[in-house]
Amino acid sequence: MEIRVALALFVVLCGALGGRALSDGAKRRAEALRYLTEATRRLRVHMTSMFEPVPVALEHAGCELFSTVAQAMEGGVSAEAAWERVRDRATKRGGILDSLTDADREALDRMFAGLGQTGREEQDLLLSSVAEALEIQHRLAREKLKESDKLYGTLGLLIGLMLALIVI
Amino acid sequence: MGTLDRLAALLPEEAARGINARFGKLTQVGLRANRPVQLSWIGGEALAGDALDANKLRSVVTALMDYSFYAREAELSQGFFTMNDGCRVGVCGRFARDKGEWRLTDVGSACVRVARPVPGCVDAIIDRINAADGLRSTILLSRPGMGKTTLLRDIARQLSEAGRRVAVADERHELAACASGVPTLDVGPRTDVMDGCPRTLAIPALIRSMAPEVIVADEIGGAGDARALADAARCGATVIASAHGESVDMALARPALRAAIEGGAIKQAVLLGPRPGAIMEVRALDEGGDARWKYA
Repeated sequence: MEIRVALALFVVLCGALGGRALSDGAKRRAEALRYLTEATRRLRVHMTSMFEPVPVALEHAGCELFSTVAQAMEGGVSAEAAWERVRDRATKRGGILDSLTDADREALDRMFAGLGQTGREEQDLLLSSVAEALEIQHRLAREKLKESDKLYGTLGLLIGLMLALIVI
Repeated sequence: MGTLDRLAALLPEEAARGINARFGKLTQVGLRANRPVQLSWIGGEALAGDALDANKLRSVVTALMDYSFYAREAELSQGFFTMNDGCRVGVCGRFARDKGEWRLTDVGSACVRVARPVPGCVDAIIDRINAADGLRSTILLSRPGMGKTTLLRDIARQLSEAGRRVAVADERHELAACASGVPTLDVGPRTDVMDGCPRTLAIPALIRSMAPEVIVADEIGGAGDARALADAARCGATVIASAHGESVDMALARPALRAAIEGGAIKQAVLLGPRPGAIMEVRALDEGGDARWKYA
């Protein structure tokens, strides 16, 4: 009987932790999107107001991901090609982008595909629209986070309890 | 990585081999669509590799721009952009007018002019500029490609090292090759550089804000330049400048240079040629303009 109770408690704990892990993913996504939105705004200033070349502006945008893309541009690689190299690593589990959705990543794909290719005005428009898209995604992520925080936590606990009852 | 290294990495193998074989002496690399790469050095030239197709040429030029067209837009409308190490890339091709501005839309050819500091290249004449009785405002005259910018840079460095406060109006980024406003080429320890700013704005701003003893400006030519230099001279600064012109008479035929010389902004001329870096003559332009010192 003691073993069953211990097992039931373990199952409840696992359920609660599982629920929290799901809600943590949503939290990480919201934080990553906020971080990327701010970095994109800084990138816009460095490029269109300070006229820094793309690799320098990426380095100065204060974002680890952008710095990695800048380093991948060394030796005459375009921003788009450098981004393709970096993206796969960043979207793997544990990478900075692992919590982002396809829609979030699409904004970044669009930005790197056009980065540096046109004149100042067009670059300004591109970076503004990407920052705006990321901000919208961030807002949605925060709304989802509010819901999922309660939902996944409670759901995890309930599933755990249910399984515990079955076990007992 | 310098411009020639980058170019060698971007070009097809055979052209890259040509660059690497003459790395230290190249003065110019010509890239033309559907033509081999042209390598030039003092006293010679050669074509290297197969014809460069138009797409490859475009990708090389875009890569040299660090994929940052927007950052080079203003320079490109004048037909060139300057690399971080001071090398100037001239571009030709199709230009179109957009919202009142001329914009490069297609690249047909490019010419990379190699900037190479030559410390000591003005040793022979520095005493004529930093003379015992004081500094003498000087203009370097030659046809294109004779090394005016290289000499000007060394004059700035030597005057600065001699204790003079030097200010450089480096509109085309070639004299000091600034990266993020900081010179990458040696222009001396007492030198301030205003990078990328039109000379007509940079010279008065430098006079007001940096209190220089010497103002250095490359490739002057417009009436605004002449006015700014004359004004700097009236403020007590010594002017060291360069301009295209094969002789003093030819320089005087250009209204802006005539105004600068007759306005007293320039006291002597240094004529360069017939080969790059060679100093032919220093000629006094004040006191009747009769004094001449031959060098080659």
